[in-house]
Amino acid sequence: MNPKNSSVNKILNESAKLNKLAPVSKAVFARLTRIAQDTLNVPIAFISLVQEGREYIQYYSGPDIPQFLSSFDSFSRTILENNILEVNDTESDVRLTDYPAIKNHSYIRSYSAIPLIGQNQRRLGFFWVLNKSPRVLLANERELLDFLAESISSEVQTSLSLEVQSNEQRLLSILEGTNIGTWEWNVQTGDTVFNERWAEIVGYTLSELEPISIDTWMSLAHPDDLEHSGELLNKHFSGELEFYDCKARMRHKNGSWIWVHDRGRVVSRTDDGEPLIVSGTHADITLQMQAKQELESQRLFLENIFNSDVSAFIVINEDGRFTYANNEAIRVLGLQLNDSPKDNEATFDDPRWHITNIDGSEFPNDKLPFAVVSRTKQPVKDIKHAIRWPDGEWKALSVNGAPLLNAFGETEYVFAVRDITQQVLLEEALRESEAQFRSLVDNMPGVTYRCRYDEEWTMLYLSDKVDPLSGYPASDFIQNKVRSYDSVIHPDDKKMASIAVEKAIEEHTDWLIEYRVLHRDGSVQWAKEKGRPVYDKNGDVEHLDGFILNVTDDKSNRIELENQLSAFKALNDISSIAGTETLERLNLALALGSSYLGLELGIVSQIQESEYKVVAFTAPENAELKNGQTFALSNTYCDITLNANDVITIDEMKSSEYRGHPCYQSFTLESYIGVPLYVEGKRFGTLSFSSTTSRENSFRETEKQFIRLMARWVSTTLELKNQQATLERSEQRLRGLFELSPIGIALNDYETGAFVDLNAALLLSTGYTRDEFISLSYWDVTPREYEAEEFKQLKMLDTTSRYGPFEKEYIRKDGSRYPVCLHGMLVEDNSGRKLIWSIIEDISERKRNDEIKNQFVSTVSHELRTPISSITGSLQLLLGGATGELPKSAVEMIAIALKNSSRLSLLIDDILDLEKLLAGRIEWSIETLSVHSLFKDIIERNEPFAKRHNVTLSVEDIDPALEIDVDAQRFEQVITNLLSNAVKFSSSGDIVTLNAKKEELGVRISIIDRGEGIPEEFHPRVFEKFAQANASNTRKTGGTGLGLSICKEIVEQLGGTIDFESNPGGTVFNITFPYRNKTLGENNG
Amino acid sequence: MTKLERVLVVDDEQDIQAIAKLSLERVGGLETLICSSGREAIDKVQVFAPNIILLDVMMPGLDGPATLSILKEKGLVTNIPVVFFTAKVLDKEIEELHSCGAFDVISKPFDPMKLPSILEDIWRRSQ
Repeated sequence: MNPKNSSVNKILNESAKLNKLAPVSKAVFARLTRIAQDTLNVPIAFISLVQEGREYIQYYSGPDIPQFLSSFDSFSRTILENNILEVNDTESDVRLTDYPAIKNHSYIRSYSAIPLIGQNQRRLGFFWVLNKSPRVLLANERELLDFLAESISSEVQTSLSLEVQSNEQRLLSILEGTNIGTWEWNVQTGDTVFNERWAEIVGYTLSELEPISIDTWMSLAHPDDLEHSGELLNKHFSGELEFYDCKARMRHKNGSWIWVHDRGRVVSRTDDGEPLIVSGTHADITLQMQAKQELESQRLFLENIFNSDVSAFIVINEDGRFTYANNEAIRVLGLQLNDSPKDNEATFDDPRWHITNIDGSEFPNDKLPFAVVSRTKQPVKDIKHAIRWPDGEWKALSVNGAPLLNAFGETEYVFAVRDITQQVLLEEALRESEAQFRSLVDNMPGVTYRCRYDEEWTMLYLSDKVDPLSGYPASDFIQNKVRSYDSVIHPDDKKMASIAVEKAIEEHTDWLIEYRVLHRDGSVQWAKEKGRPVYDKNGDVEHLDGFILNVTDDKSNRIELENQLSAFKALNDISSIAGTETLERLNLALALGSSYLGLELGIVSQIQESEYKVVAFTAPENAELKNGQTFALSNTYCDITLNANDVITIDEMKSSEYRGHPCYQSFTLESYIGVPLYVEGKRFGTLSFSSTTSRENSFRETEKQFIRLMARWVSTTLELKNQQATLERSEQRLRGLFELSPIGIALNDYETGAFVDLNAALLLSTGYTRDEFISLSYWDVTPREYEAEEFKQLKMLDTTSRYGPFEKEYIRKDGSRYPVCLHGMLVEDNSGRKLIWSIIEDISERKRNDEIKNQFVSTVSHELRTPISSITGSLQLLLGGATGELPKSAVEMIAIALKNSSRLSLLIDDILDLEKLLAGRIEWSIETLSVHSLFKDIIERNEPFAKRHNVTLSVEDIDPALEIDVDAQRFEQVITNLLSNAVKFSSSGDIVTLNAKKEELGVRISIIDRGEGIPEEFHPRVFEKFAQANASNTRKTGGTGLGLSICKEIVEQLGGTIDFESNPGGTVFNITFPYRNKTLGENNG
Repeated sequence: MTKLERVLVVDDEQDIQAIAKLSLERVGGLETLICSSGREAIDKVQVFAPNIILLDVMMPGLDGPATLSILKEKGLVTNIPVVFFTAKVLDKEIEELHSCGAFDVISKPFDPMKLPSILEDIWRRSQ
């Protein structure tokens, strides 16, 4: 090394700080670099070592070349791997494109760097040789360099180990001096080394813990901390954390848990880069942790108290800012304080609220709790004020406060704030209700008093309400100043009052009395008094307290009520009059009315024009009055009543406006009450009561109401009488009908079954006389086998009040039976007797007809089918070859014969189907079919028949697209029937035409013949069953007389219509089938 | 018995007799005995020992149901199915025929070409 090379020295000094190699190394380096320089004839050779990822020149031999040294970083960066780097010519080497400092170096044109490899293939640095000119190293030159590099590596390795050893020693001595334990852990093998101090921390000696492994630590660590420790370790292994740093609990030998702080790092790794050795320190931090926990628990405790929401706490600093507020305080103040008090802008006089007295008046700022405490430095107690927000919400608060010196020596002010809003509101409500109560007493209708228990009832206190009761002011009565209260009590009631009070005093109870008070204006007022005695200590009466109510109005109401009750009773008596003749009932009612009203004369009159007729009356015995007696209307007070069309009352005629009335002149009737009568909505007459004496009291509203109601009763009674007359007439009419009815009618007693009444028709069917029948019992005419059915019908009658219709038989007088159909209903006569009305229809004829019909169907069926069976059977055997081979022409003919006999057979079936048709039991198979092809088949099948009659069947042009919705078989049946009729009634050589047209409502099909036509008198019966125009035709044409009935039935059930036009020139049958006939088919499935 | 062999036909109508005979013998290859009345059938059934009896309903004297009732009473048809042969077609009538003990009912008109196979079917069902 050349000591003059100042720039080199500078660099070397820097390296020396980083790596202190043993002094012996420098001599070795000098020798080795020299060998390289001399042997290879290179001007520069030097050694660089790796320190913290960078190359530093460790030893240099050669000239001082400032450009080189300053660009050494560039040189070192060209080394990419642990391989030898050989640059033969810096100017042409493509690897140096990005290194202009090397490329354009004025001195160096070529260089080589040989890696220095230590233990575990760890790269220690490089051995460099540099040339001024381009150069390619020879093989032996490269070998030499490798050898030199190996020697340098070995020297560096040795030197480094020595350095580490001395460092270790030094560090150990430092650690031993502290109270820190150390550990080293081989991650791969689990071997662990602790120092003595480590063991001491957990209360052991190292020898006690033998054999030591990582399990020693695991077994002592708190199970809850293992996971966290593992996580930290992994993070460190992965490079996420620079150190493993963990605080965990460990079990001390004495059984307690201690806190330890472990710190460590990976000091070496395996070749695969896996952590190998981890070492670190181990400190006891138990005291530290305990202190921290204690602090934490104290803080939590205080926080819990503050946040218990029982009281609001706030802390305000010298500036008037809130530094703390608990939850309750936040609620009370309506503020949300930030977590950090320093960030709070809120102050005690926050402009968001307005502080007032609780009653809303202004609260002086200098009296605010904060202002007072901060000024006086003295505590304050129970300062009450309200806090109000702009939205109208407010709270009443009570505040206590005190100054407080905090831990930093600053003065703060602590306040406890109580929300007393509810309390304030309650007090207010109480005050209000007191005021209300006072005003209530003042406004009470009664008189309150306090008086002495003496003769005069000497008043000590009397409320003003005595004035309306007596007409005198309260002051008159106090101490009997002007008059005593006794003086205004009605003389007749005084004794009763004294007795009641005396009794109450004796019994120590209240009294409740009613008495009259003589009012100043001369009227009598009714008073109701409730009072009680007040006794002194000796049990003597000290005074009387009480309450007097003016009940004058109540009293008169009660009298009116009594009046109403007697009116009600009278009306009740009147409406209870029953069972007698109308006139008698009216007379009785008038007597009751007369008694109630206290008027001796009562009349129900009928008025026709100007005539007044007495219908019913009640009068003193000496009165000359008769039913039916007439007067001129103008001579009765009733003309007034009729004119007024309402109740008229006259209390005293001589003083009334009617005193000049002719009635008064004639009869001197002083008092009168009358009302118009209406019967069935028409004016009938009047109901009136009168007396020769005038009324003591005026007619009251109740009495007017009474006569109105009585008038209504009279009207109803008269209406009932009319209705009875009408009913009687109606009964007579019905009786006539009953007797004339062609259907039997009977009336039976519900309980006994006995016949009560019956008509002529029933007698005729049964052969009994009326008297005979009435004497019969029910089972004399009804066969016993119908008992069950009868019972069923009776049950129906009980539940629905009706029975039937049902069929049974009746037994005639001669013992024979006939079928009947019965139905009827339950009725009740006036006396409540239950009766059964029955309609008994003689259905013999109907049954006979049904029988005939069924017989016919059965006979026709059998008689027609038997020969057809023979015909078709024979033909089928022939055609089937049972009798041997037939000629072809014969087969054809037999086939036609068979086809038509089958058709006839089908036709018979259809005739029988008529039954089903009429009963609606036919199953339809509706399809949309082409009219054209339907006609084609029909014509083909009917052609032979037509030919036999020498008639031509013709089809007019039919639209091939024309379709109808029909049952094909039934359709053919109809058309065939009509065609065959047409053919039969045509003359030889005629043409029968078939036509079909599309019309608005459907398809219209016409069958046209040119025969002699249907006789006009037969037109109405064409479609009737078994109807034929000419009975002899049956034989001639072979018809059954059912054909057209079946056609009509089928067409109509298919939803179509059938009609005809006929004249002597021919007949046209028209059938119209509507479009969309599907529903019928769908319904029938 | 594995095969239908003998049929007894009871019908008063000569035409039907002829057709039935031709049908059963020629078409069906069955041994056929024709009886013109119920009485005759009662007399001959035991000797002929038919596999099946075809019995007309409407006959003078003993009609079909009456004949069947006597046959049953005498125990002559214990294992022989009796089939009614009728021109009656009302549902009610068919129902009545079934209820008096007929194994089946064949309605007229019938197809004589198919009668043997129909009887064959009925006989098989009766086994």
